[in-house]
Amino acid sequence: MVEGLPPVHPAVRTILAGNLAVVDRAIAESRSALEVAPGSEVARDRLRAGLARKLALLRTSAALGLEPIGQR
Amino acid sequence: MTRQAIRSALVALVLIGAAGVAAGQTEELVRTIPMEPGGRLTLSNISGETTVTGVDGDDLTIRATKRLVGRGSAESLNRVEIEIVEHGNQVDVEPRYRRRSVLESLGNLLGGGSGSVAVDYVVTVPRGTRVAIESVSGDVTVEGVDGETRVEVVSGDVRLASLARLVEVESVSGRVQITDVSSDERMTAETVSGRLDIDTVRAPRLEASSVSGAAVLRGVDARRVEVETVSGPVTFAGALAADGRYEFESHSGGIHLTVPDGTGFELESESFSGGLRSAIPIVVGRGDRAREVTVFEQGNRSIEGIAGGGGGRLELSTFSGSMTIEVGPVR
Repeated sequence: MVEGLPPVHPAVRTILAGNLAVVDRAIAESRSALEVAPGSEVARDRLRAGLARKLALLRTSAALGLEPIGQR
Repeated sequence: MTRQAIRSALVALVLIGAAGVAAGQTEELVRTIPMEPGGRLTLSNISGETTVTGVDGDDLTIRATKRLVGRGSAESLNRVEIEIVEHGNQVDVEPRYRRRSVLESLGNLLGGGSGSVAVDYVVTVPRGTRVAIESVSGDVTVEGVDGETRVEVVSGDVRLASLARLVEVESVSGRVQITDVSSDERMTAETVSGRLDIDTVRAPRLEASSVSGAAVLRGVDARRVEVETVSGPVTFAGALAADGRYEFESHSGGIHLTVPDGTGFELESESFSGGLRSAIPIVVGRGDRAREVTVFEQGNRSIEGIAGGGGGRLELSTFSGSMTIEVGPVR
């Protein structure tokens, strides 16, 4: 136990989880779009960008020592 | 241990807890260190405000104020030490939080809970100092520094002004404001949820990104610009260099650009369900099939064209956000 050491503010975890949900929605929309239009380059680009962003958020969360967020 | 002894020990612990102090108690440390030109400051903070200002002169001055947040024992302040390490022409500043015993923890608990300790830094550095700041919780301000500057913040607003070599700023939940800042190399600004405000920036390459925060850029002078968000809107007002490349991407946020009158560019845009409106007619198609278009309706489409006789490359990409190109003042 460390005296007086403030933990990472709980709001940070909430913010990360909320933003992960935003990214997950974007990924889901891109996937749905690809089902409708499998040749859509923009849907593929957005899916790739969403997955990269999700990875970055999960890495940030892990680097901060937060519990896993957005179990999907 | 007898029952009487146990009772006495508990009473003593309660008294230790009761002797705790409320928020507001502070302890200040001031240290001045002479620096050679081109020195470096690395500063870490766990909780508290951090302000670094470039000044004329050769001295680096650190004013660190420990502050009790919430309720806790007066000794809590003593368990946080400000470690200042000089090596060569570099100064490292970091708060060290020491461990407490189980008895002390129990005393705090019985006394109404343990507070935490924040450290507020007010630092002045010779202007040419290279500055690297890491902060977990608390606002960070850096101003008037000419040396390479890097800032990473988990939770807190960041304000950067009048910097000559900003290289990198990252924040998870705070707002990032960048004003009158230059760099002679790539500059990156990143947030997760905080708004990005970038005003009057000069760099060969600027990269800005956010998940849900808005990205607002004005007065940008850069040959290469990359801005990306997921749901946050993107607003850009600036000139497009004839040999420049400008990429703006958002999933569901809109992309709104304002460029000076007479601007030309080569456009490549794509959107799954968003539309594009341009105040500058865009010539699409070639030869007999060439035509000028200012409105592209929503739909899964990619557009390639030339506006204003051509110039820098402009790439826009959204999934569902709308895109607009307007002409107007960029300052």
